[in-house]
Amino acid sequence: MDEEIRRLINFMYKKLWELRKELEDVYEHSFSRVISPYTRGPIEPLHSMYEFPDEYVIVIDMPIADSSSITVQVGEDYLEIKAKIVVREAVESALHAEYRKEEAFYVKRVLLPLDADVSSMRYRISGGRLIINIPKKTIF
Amino acid sequence: MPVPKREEMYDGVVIYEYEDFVVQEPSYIVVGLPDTGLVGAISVTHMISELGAIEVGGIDLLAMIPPITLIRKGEPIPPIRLFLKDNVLFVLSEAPVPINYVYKLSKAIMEYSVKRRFKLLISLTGIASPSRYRDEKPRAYWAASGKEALEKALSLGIESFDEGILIGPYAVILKEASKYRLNTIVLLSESFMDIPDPEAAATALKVFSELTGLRIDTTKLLEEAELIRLRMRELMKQTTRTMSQMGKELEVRHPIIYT
Repeated sequence: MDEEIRRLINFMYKKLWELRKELEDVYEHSFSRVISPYTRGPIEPLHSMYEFPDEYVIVIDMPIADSSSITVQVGEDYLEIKAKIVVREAVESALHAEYRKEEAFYVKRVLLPLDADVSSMRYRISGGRLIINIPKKTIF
Repeated sequence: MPVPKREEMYDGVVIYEYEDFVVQEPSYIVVGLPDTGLVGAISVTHMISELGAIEVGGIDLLAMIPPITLIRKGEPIPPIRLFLKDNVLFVLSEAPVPINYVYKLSKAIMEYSVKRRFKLLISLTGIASPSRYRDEKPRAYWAASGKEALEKALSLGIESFDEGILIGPYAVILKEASKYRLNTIVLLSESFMDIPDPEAAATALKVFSELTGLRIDTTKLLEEAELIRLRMRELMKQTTRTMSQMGKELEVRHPIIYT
């Protein structure tokens, strides 16, 4: 019986997390409609999240990032990733914008699932992609 | 857009030809639409640039919602462009195909291919794979329809897309090709779902080279991979929204039922 209740609670938490993520995506979508993608300022990198039986893997695409400047901060229920972009002419052309050195940087906030155990998180950088492995923990 | 010399209408899809052209034999029509990891769009863009293909036409989707016109150098251009190099006609889309045009566009491309008597319709695309993040070299698979296409695909020395689900324009082309008596091959390269993946495109191009005998050098594509990813960020974001409307996340490569 306890096992059943535990499974039900886990299921509900998961659904709530999915709903929150969906709402954030809708917000992001609406927001990006009024802000030109070519506005100067921080750039939000693309990302993919994979769920495996024992861990989550988040891939953040940060081409031309200065890998020594990448920071990963843990918030209450999110990760905030920042990195500087190595600005050169080709990058400005790709972004259709002129950047001053201090302006060009990536910022990404990724909402974490409830069972993500960030205390055992590890990450690496490969070919301009930040790959974060976060093990799962048992909530109840 | 130049004044078209010929135009053909297929159920709300107009194919323009800006000049009279002859596609040499064996003739191939190669489709690269924005899709998983933008593999098709990146591959075809790279081939057009490497081979120096010239623009000979375009495809317009009439009554598209929202109404969109693409503009380049002050002139309107159709959202899908046709480029020719010797025996290959490239179909390259500058924007994701709206969900209500997936069937219409796929059928228009097939009808046009039959009318123009193309020997083979080749589609290049990605198939989302979780193993991509492990830095493994992407693998390529094929799916084909038509006797000659199957024979060619079997000689490629890569695995077939044995079992699974395909969603989107390539799925329609593959499913409907036999009705048009058309030989078609879809080359699928393992890729990220919603991150542009030039490395996966390079894998697809390697197989494409073997299939057609055209030598495509991917050195520049791999050298400039990070810049390409940066440049294609916005197209990927738009494509992700369209793929989500199509239920593209259901696309998988594994057995669907147990028999």
